[in-house]
Amino acid sequence: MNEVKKEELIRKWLDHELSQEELKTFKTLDEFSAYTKLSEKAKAFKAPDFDIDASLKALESKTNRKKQPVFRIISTIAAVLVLGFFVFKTIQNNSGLTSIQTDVALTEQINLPDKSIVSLNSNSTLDYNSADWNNKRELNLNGEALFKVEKGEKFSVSTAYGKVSVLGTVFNIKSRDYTFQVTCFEGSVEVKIDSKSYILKQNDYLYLDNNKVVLEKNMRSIPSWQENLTIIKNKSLDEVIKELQNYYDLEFDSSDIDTSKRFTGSFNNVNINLALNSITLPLGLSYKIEGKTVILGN
Amino acid sequence: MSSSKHLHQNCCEKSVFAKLHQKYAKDLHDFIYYKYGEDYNPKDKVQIAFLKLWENCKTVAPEKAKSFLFSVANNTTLNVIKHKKIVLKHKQTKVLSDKDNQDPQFLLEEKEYMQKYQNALAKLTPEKRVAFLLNRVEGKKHKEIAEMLGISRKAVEKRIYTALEQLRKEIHEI
Repeated sequence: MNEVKKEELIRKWLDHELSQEELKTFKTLDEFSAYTKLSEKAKAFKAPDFDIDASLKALESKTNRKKQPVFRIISTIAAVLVLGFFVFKTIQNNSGLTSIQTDVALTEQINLPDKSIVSLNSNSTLDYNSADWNNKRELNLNGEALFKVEKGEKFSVSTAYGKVSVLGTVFNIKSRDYTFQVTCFEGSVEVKIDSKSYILKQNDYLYLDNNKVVLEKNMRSIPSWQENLTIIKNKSLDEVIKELQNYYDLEFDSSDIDTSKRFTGSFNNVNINLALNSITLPLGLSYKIEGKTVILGN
Repeated sequence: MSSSKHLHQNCCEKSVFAKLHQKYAKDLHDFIYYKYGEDYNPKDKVQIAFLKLWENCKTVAPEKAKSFLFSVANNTTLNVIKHKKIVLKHKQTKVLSDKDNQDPQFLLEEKEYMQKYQNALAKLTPEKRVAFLLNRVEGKKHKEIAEMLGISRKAVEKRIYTALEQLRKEIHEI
């Protein structure tokens, strides 16, 4: 039998389309036993069972929950009349649409098509279109990420608060429900909030304080989260708890304490006891962990 | 006409969304698993893809949902850097009641065979591996796989055939 005929026979066998006659011929092939054993044993590699109902349930809880933060952001922004910069990206080319999400306590590193690198911190989402990347280097960020951008055309990151654009540099963005901060580590970046534009040079640090832009100097060479540390300057305990929840999947019971107390200091992002001690000791508080809940007390 | 009704259907409707999930979630999961292995959390990728669909339900027509879901899941997996070797777990060889099969020699050979099989599968390209395993393990016809992956039936046949040959040479020829 020639090779072409043999290949066709095998292809038919693979698609369960052999006639009785062809099956007989197939069985005479030298490779017959190898093929059948490969086929038989392949079944041992079956994917784990997929629970469709559980998957849909998980989705439903997320889609229901997902609406809330969006509405909250919109209402906050509407309240301060800065809706103008809220950027929604419409998807024109589905094929390259990419969305990376990190859960609480997890981080990811992402290689963009132009070799730019994004380190995505916990509890964050990054969207971009890889198909159209050479024309438009645009991303959407909700959360915190460090960007190391290759030189080239304009590279911009949209957030709920504004847009950050660069040509090639290293910078960190933190854009969460309760805070917006941009730090430039190399080169320069442009931050556009409302219709105002701010240029940050190396070591410049911009943040929003009650919707007012504040510019300061930053002396660190990498963002603190890359060293598993969160640094907090004069924030309410409420906000400190939100920060903690980016790294620890825990609920907080703060009903017995005054959460408007201010905190300045830092906490560890990977060791919960260390983190809670560094927050509660200076404030003269105590804590207890019961299951998935941290109970704060005086 | 059912077709005109179809036109007005929208992925934002819960019932349409649930139907799409029912139809594609398992295939999506298996696709990611066979293509990239368990380290890439295929269940999470299913969730991410469907959440993206939900967020974009106004712009993605139901008939485009399949390719949208597969693209998002695939791109999302591809863009996460992990240099690990792909891992597909195999079940332990069943100990049959037949006495001959419990012979230690047989069990050892079986174990070695599966080890070799696992390594050979890891060496296949993701495209060949996913086509081969969907066909051999999930029992999907070439035509179904072609539709699922959005490629021609000829291309599917070629991938499965070359995968089989590569595995045979790797495992059965010394």
